Amino acid sequence: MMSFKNKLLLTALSLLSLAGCDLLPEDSTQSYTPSSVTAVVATTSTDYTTGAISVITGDDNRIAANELLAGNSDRTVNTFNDHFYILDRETQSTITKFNIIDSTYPVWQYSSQDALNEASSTNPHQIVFLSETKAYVLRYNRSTIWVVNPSATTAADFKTGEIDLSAYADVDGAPEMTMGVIANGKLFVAMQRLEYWSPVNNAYIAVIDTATDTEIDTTTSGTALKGIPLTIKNPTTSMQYLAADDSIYIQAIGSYTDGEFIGGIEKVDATTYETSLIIDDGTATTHPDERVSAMAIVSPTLGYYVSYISWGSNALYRFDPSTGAETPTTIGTLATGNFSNITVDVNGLIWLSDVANGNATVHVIDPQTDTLLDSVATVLNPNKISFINQ
Amino acid sequence: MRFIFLQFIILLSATSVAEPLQVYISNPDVFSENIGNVDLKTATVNFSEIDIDQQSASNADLATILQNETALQIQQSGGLGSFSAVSLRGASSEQVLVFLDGILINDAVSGYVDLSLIPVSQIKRIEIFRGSTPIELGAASMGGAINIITNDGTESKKTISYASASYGVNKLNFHVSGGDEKNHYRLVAESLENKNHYPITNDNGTIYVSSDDREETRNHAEIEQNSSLLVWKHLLNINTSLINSFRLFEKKQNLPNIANSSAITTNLFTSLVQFNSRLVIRKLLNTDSESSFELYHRNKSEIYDDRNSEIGLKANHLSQKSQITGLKSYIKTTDSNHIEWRMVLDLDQQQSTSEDLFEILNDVSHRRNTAKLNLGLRRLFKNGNRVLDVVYQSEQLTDNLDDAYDIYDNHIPAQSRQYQFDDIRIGYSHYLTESTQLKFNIGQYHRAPYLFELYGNRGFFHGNSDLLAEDSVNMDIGFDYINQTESSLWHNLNLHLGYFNNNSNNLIVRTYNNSRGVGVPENINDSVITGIETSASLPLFKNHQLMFNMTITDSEIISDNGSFNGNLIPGYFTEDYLFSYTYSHYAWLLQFEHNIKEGMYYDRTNLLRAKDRDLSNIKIKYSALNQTFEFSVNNIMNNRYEDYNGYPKPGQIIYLGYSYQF
Repeated sequence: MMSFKNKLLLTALSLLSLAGCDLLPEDSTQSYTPSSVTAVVATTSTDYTTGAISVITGDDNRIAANELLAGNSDRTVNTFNDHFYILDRETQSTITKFNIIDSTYPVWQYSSQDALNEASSTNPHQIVFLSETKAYVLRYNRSTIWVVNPSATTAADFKTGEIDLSAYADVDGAPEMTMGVIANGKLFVAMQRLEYWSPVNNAYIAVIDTATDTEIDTTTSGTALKGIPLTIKNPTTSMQYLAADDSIYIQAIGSYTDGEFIGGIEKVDATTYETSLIIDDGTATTHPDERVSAMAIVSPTLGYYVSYISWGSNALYRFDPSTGAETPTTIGTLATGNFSNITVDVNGLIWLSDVANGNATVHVIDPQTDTLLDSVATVLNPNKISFINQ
Repeated sequence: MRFIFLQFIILLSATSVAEPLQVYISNPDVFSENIGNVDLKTATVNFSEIDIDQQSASNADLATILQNETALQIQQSGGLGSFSAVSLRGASSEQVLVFLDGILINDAVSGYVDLSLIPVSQIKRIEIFRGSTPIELGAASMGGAINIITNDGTESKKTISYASASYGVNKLNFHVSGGDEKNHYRLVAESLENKNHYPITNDNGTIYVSSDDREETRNHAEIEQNSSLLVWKHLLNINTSLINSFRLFEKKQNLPNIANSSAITTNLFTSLVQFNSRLVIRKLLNTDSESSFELYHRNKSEIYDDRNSEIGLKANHLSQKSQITGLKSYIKTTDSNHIEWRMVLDLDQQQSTSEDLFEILNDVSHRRNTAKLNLGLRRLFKNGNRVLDVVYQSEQLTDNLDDAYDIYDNHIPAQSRQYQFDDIRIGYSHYLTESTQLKFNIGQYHRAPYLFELYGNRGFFHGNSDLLAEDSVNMDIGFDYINQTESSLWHNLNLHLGYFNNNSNNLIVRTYNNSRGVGVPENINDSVITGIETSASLPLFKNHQLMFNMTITDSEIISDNGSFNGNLIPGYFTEDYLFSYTYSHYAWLLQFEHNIKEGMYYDRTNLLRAKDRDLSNIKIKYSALNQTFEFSVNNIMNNRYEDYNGYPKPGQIIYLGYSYQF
């Protein structure tokens, strides 16, 4: 149940929208235009007891409405057109759809459980959109993807099909599907294939034909698994399709065990399914940038990634995906810190989630000049950032 | 039903004149068992005492008994026998010390005490010390202390009791005690079963959609526990006695998940063996001296089985074993200036081992050696009209982590760490008049990080070996008034008003930097907690007793973290009111209680507010001819609450109890 405070905030935002200002914080003087960027951020308290949403608007002097829709801490957010979707993961297994214009009440809320009173949660990690009437729910604790209709008006009509990925499951019973993108009419799904949190198996990308919802055999050798095996292990945070070079970029943290460096950034050709390792996190003896924990690609020759040095310690790098050449960011205040996520908006700007104690800030960076444009406080720690109409 | 500030009540006892407030009258003590116990007669601390009615069916667990005490709040994860933690004056369960017959039972591993592991049938009485802690306990903490006494008394009796309650509770206990001039024994055995099949509302996780809400029975929350206690006292000579206790405890608890699935298998098995042996010696140093030397040992084993990852973020099958062995010495002597000198020295070693039963990760073991020395003087002026209490405590802890591995199986080299604290507490009490007593206490306290906080809890969070100890300065002042004019209408009017202020620094909070679900404890918060406690009673008419307690607490988190700063501390109701009416006549007793609690948040960001509580209880008891029958209803209005967010508790509970004394 929404707290009174959150209802008040959402009501205020809704009133502004009725006045023609759409979703804007109370003290904003800017109006929303189709070219503007509105970011919806999943946020979490430092002690992981509470989750909420922040909405950041404006092209300059960005303003945030914070601590909205407080609830479960284990959550993420996805967007499609003018809606945002909160995925409450491990403890709740629900997906809740909100209209960015009027977020007082959700459009709908549906469970991603297969049945009532299931022994374990489904832990939905992402909803990947094909259209207003078709999307895919990636369920981390299960072997099947749900095919859903995001415009369904009843729970019975929400799920329209399933795609079986059980061939990729390991000893713990699930392939740990975690991220997905759609490119060229195909759904690409990354699976960690961890055994009790240990990355002993190869990570894979399953490729699904969105017209038939059947898996495409990407191999030529006729092996049991049809998907694309990755060199890197344990993809966690970032997976992105870049139309400019028809490629999918995927980040993997590898292992947290000392001396084991099996992650990095890999590029997958969305048509030929060929892979190439772009950033290798190193070896037991040579690993200058440590592990790769998040990534954002601006163009075939420009991207950023966050490296994981140790718990609570990260560094920010700028790199060329076509060559793998990298340099630390020249933004002094962001060279090192505690960063949980990074993404890119439709205008090619980088958005960085900063969770250093006492910070709780989203930074906006111009990657062309490697300069800091803006920093917006979110009160709670920002994690996943998604954009409206992008 | 709302209560306004300072509501006077009518208290009447059908028997003797009520004792002067907080003056303890000791009974003849052939085994000198009170030596080493807290001297409540002259203690300057604010305390309350609960005598346990062994024949009361509704006293099925410690949480039920304690939940209505002033300034004390209990959080329980489910029904009877479920995990229960205590909070005192806003301090968390890790900051409240719990003693069993004067021996500290907060272990060095996790810090908190699960009250459900202490069977009520073994308890004779409970002392609650709010804020300051008496020297006799040998340790002090930021929140205060609770001392659970099981080895008191020399009664002879044999009783068998049976209680049944809603949702599948059955409790059977047997008590036999007796002896002669030189020996006394007490044997208590109890078996408790609770199916915990209480109704809950399952919202299917869809909090915005009420149409799919279902009324269900709580699944997979069954508890079975068995316990026994043997106390044997032996008089060696007129000045020397030996008091031994031996207890066994075993509990199997199924752990439900938020989806309320009946198919899950997650469970926790706990077993405990404890042995205490206290040698009490009068006149060891001189004719006035009293001393005791207690050897204690406890073995605890827990096996947590979530191998199918039905509750946690990942599969876990863990064994946690801990042992503690210690020696506690107490010496008291009085000099020619009537100053009482006390020394309490407590030395113990705790060893704990964590084993991954999947045999994927390596074992982790650590040891903590603790030495606590308390030196105190108590000066009584004018025959106890004024008392000054000064205690100096020196505490040294040495931790040794053997070769260990974190949750990712990264090697943590063997390491040692030491903490050293020197704290002072001062207490003063003064009878301003024959009827009015002032008490004042101020003290400094430290809490060393527990071993899980320093070195991690396999599967749940990393450790942080750089943690600083929490520290605080606590102050309280209280006034007690009791009218002793026998001819007055207000005879035995009993009032208490108290104010407390606790300033704490370097509070340890588990922090998470992303949604991977693994955290690290850090010193990121300070806090200020202030509060007012009040109670009142007035005996007027026969057989009727009314009582009223009120606690209002304000708190503030001080932190660089903007989402915490300025907020209320979580997990504690800011307003707590209790009204109780008791009518007793011959063999009958009728009791009604009403409790209101308001203003609790589940979280430090104060975005998740808990439902305010409104609870009414009623009890009817009949005792005659060696038999006692009891019928009681707790939570008459069947209101449903959650102490822990997402873990519903039972609503109305009906108890039936029968006890027979041979």
